[in-house]
Amino acid sequence: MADLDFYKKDMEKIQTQLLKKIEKVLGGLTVLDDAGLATAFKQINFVDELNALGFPALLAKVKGSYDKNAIKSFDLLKATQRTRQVATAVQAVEILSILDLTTISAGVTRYANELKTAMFRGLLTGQSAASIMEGLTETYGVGRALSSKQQVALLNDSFARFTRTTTAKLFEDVPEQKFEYIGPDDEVTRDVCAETLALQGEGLTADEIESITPVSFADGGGFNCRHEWIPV
Amino acid sequence: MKAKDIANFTKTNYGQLASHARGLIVKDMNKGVMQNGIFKYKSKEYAAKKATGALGKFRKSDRVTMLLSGETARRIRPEGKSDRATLVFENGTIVQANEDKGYVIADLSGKNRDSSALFLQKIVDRNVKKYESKPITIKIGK
Repeated sequence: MADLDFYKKDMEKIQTQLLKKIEKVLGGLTVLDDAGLATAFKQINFVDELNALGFPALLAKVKGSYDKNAIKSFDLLKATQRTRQVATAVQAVEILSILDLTTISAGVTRYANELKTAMFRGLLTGQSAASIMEGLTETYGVGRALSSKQQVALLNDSFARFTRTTTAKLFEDVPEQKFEYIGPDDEVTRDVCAETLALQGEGLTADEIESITPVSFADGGGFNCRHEWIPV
Repeated sequence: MKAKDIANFTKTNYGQLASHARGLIVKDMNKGVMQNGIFKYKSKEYAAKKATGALGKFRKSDRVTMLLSGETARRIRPEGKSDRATLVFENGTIVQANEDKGYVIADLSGKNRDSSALFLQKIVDRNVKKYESKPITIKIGK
């Protein structure tokens, strides 16, 4: 199983369709003069195109609704007594989830704008349609930019940070709560993570994590970290 | 806080319990322990390939961990409802397929159930402390 396999596949499909559309449009754009190109530059919006090609649906998938039918739930405990509703932490977690999706959206907007700029730069410098397409495919095609390994790793890291932040948020009103640092200790483990795994003892509070250890609660040992803090 | 609220759990309390239980499951996965026991990989070739990191960033190879990219573990979402704690396994297809093979993570082992019960007790203890910390004024006479 690859990391977020669906994201890479769906994004590649969207990229392919977008580049096909651009290839069709390029033929008409190459015959325009500079004034015509300036008008076209204002009219063309690849963000709209990406939306039309299903980017919002992909975002929904990323949010987790893609697998609704296959989701498996497990009730830990049911209480029969009346409960007092304090949902602050739960609401904050929802907001964090939205912020993460906003980051992904921002990346797509940047991609669309860069793609447009590269295309018009080619047109204005008199490159042929074939040459422009070659350049665009090389830099923005399948396996590049939004569907690159780096992008998938970024997305994965974003989810990992989200998981860690969710835990921190749930326990922010319980300063005495202790946490244990879990994850692999192998040849690729960062020194800071190995050090933290060794020094944590019976667990550390959120304050102790930030002051004593070389890692942090939300980021773990850094980008693409495999470790997380769990409440004990 | 009133005395009757000591054993009343909030959504956040249930969220904390769910987070604790998720942590126990993920910790076990990292140690190669499923909620229904420990299993060795049937294929030595697979275990050897996994140890190289070619199959994902988790390399532990002697036991079934259900950890390759870590996505299945990361997508166990703890939820606090008004009357219960829930774990949502968003990578449900993979979790179910593994369960069909006999590798269960969508449950709690006896040890982890005990740990969850203790965790809930800690919440009650915190509530007791909150209740006790409030001064009670007793009026004597007029």
